[in-house]
Amino acid sequence: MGSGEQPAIDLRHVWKVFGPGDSARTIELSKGGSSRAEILQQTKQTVAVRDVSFSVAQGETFVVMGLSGSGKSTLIRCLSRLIEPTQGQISLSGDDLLAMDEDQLRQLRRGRMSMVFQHFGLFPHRKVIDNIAYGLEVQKIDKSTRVARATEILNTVGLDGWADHYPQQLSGGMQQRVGLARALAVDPQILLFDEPFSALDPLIRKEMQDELTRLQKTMQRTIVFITHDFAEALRLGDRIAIMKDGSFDQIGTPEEIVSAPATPYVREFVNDVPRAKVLSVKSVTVAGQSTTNSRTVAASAKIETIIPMLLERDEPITVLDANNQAIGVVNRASVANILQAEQK
Amino acid sequence: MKRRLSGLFVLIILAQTLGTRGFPDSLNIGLAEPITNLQSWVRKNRNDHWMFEFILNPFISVVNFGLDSVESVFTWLPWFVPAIIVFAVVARTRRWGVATFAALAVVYPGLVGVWSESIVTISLMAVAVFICVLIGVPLGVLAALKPRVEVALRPILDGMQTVPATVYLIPIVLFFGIGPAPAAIATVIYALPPMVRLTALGIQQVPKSAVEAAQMFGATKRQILAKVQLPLAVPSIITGINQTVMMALGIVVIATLVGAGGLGQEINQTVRRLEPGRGLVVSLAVVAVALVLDRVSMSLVSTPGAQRVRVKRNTLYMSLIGLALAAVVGRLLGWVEFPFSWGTSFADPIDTGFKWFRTTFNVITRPFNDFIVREILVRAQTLFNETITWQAVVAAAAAFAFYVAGWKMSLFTACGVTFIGLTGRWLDAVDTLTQTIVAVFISILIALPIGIWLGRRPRIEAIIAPVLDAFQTIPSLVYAIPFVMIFSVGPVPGIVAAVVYAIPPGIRLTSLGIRQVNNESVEAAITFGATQRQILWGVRIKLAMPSIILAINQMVMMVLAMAIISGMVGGGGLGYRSIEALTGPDSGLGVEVGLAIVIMATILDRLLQATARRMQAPVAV
Repeated sequence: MGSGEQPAIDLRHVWKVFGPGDSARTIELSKGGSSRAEILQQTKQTVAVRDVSFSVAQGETFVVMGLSGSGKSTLIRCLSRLIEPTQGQISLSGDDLLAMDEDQLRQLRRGRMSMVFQHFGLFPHRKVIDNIAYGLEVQKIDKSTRVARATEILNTVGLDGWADHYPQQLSGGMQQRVGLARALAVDPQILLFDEPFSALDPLIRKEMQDELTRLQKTMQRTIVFITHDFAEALRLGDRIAIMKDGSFDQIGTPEEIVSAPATPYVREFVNDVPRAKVLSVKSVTVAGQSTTNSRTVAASAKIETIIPMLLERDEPITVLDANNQAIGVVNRASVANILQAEQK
Repeated sequence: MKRRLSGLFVLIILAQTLGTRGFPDSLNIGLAEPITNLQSWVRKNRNDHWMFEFILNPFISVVNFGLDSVESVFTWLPWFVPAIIVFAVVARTRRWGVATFAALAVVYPGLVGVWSESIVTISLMAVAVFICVLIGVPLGVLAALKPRVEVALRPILDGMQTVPATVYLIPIVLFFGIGPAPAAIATVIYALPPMVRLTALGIQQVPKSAVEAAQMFGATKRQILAKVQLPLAVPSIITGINQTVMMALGIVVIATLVGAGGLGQEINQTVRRLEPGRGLVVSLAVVAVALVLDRVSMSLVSTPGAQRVRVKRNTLYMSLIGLALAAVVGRLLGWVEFPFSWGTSFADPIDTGFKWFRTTFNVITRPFNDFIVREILVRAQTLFNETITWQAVVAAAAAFAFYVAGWKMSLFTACGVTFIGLTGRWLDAVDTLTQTIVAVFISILIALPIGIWLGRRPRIEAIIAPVLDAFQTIPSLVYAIPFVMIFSVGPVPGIVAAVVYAIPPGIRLTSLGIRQVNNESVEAAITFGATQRQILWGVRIKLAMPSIILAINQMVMMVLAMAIISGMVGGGGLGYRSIEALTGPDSGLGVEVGLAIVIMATILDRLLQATARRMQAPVAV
């Protein structure tokens, strides 16, 4: 079984080819540099996931961001084996996912891994409480235990009092809370989110993102989160992968991606991002200088937090690292420079 | 394309000049012979061959036992008990008006004096539908989950819906003999397709995400089926039962040809005795049975969380005991049959009305009748028999098929039409086709304008729609009764009845097409200053054209379905032959007729569907 050292999720060279016929040849074509369209025309097959590798540490939130057709939904389904990958290795805390037989897979899904769906995937014929308890019912846990557990989770996601309603009597945001509660009820180590908030309107979406952040702070699960919304990716992800045409353009922390987009495609998303909200003070610190005034700021703070201070008085501020040692200063000019880059 | 079409045109001319007029008997392939041989074999071995002794006859006994038990229960019950039960079941949905109406519909057959006949019919329905559910639901589940099963089932189900019911009955009479049980089995076969289809549909329509979610929680296939797919398919399955009941009631009259008894037999007799009044009154009893079963089954379908009357368990038990007591007491007091019968008092004025209509409008109906028979039907017969060569007919049909649907369809059409000739049913087919064309033509003249008019008046349509839908539950023979009275026996009452039968769905589909026209297109036309007429003809009807063609297609199928009934009232053609085959019984003839009708229906259906597709605006790629 897995030790603490191993990543919770580890993907190596995962491919998914759709369509009947010889997928090995299609993979060779794709490796040789043929585009998806060319391959489709030649072989009638689609390369949905193209040589994807990444790993997610225990307790980390990993966001895969891509537009529709980028293969992100297929990728997360490979990760849960709702779809069989064509090639590659996937291990979960050291266990080989693709070697598991149907029974082992079922055991994995019953306890270690759970999923939240884009259109909620709730069971319209079951009450909210029975939806949440579904995962426990499948495991043949007795009724009083599962109702108690489901009620507890129901309160955690803020739906107390809605247990006896049916899903379609709830608003979209509340339905997704049920979806989240249902996934949490089986106490999984790994949570997969397939665009869970994209069917919700913007205000509710923001609220649900905050809710997830709040829950994650206390529960520390390993999360893989799929989205088409770059802002959502920045807000939730410890690390982000940008997916295009089946493969990853870039993997990095939000700050790494925003400060150094790897491809023109990634740059297009980054251009619209308010940098002051993403980049940390560290990225605008002028090293080696010092100042006599007493104002200080942590290097990990976001730039937007120091703007009011700089507007108040045009004097440099001392930047402190995690050990409270001064590593340099920030001033109006250094902040203005990085914000101006955004205008281009 | 153009060059090929002109090539085909030359081919038609050549076929006409060089071919043989009519369809020569010498080309008959003698399809009937082996089947007739089988028939005599079955006759000889019915009593001692193992297949009958150990499989078919025991099966018949089981069905008979079911029929007898249900019948004796209903006969034992005092008349008010079923009414109360129906009221209670429907009232659970809080629709008190509907519940009262349904309870009254239960009482109606008693009121008109056909209580015991209704019980016979209902027992047959109950047993047939029960068997349908027993076979249909598992088949539907299999079809939904295993693509291979679906591929195998689809052509069979499609075929089952075009084969005329009389043709089904032939092998059943052959293997099972005559009586209530064979009639029940025939009904099962006829009414099974919607059960299978709607079960499969219900399972397939379960949201994929719900199934995926269940998978993600580690549910086994069996758990997914039992706890997710089947529960979510329940509304669709109940709709399937509902449709099955309606189909079964639809052949109540035809089933009497193999000894079903009950209401169907009553109706059949009124046609023979020319008593349209009593025919209508008894038919209304069939409609009442249909209505009750429809309402009861629909009240069982509910959206989760819908408001229902909640009854405490104790109250429920108490009322059940009370009802049982009332039943016993009623029984002891002899309140079994309905206390009064107003049967003839309903029927007589209707009969008088029809007689009056007949004598008064003789000046119109007689010439109309003669015109259709002499100028159209007889001429068509001579045309196809003596003027046009069969090769030219095949070539023309193939050319049209090529134009609307390409060479594959063209080949299929040519083979199909030739095959009808080869079975020796050329003239019967011509007869049926001509009658069909006349009926469809009249139906189009009536249904399309009304449909187009209604399409833009949703409020009026909301009122008329249930009436139009109710028309479809009336057994098709009932349509023919008044027209036999008015036109006397012959092809014309069949044609007129077919028109009346086909119009409602024609109107519904046409108005649906008009209503579904994209509002933005209409608004665009208005902003460019188009007149009402330009909007109607240039936008609404143009865009609704595929639906309108499908409406015509539906009407063609309905008219063809009436061919048998038409045969029962003297219409001739394939319909008459099929009854001849059944009463003979002449299985060979039956198979010839069956194939001819199926081929004709399939060709017409495919050609019209292809025409509708041609008219569809190209879909974005």
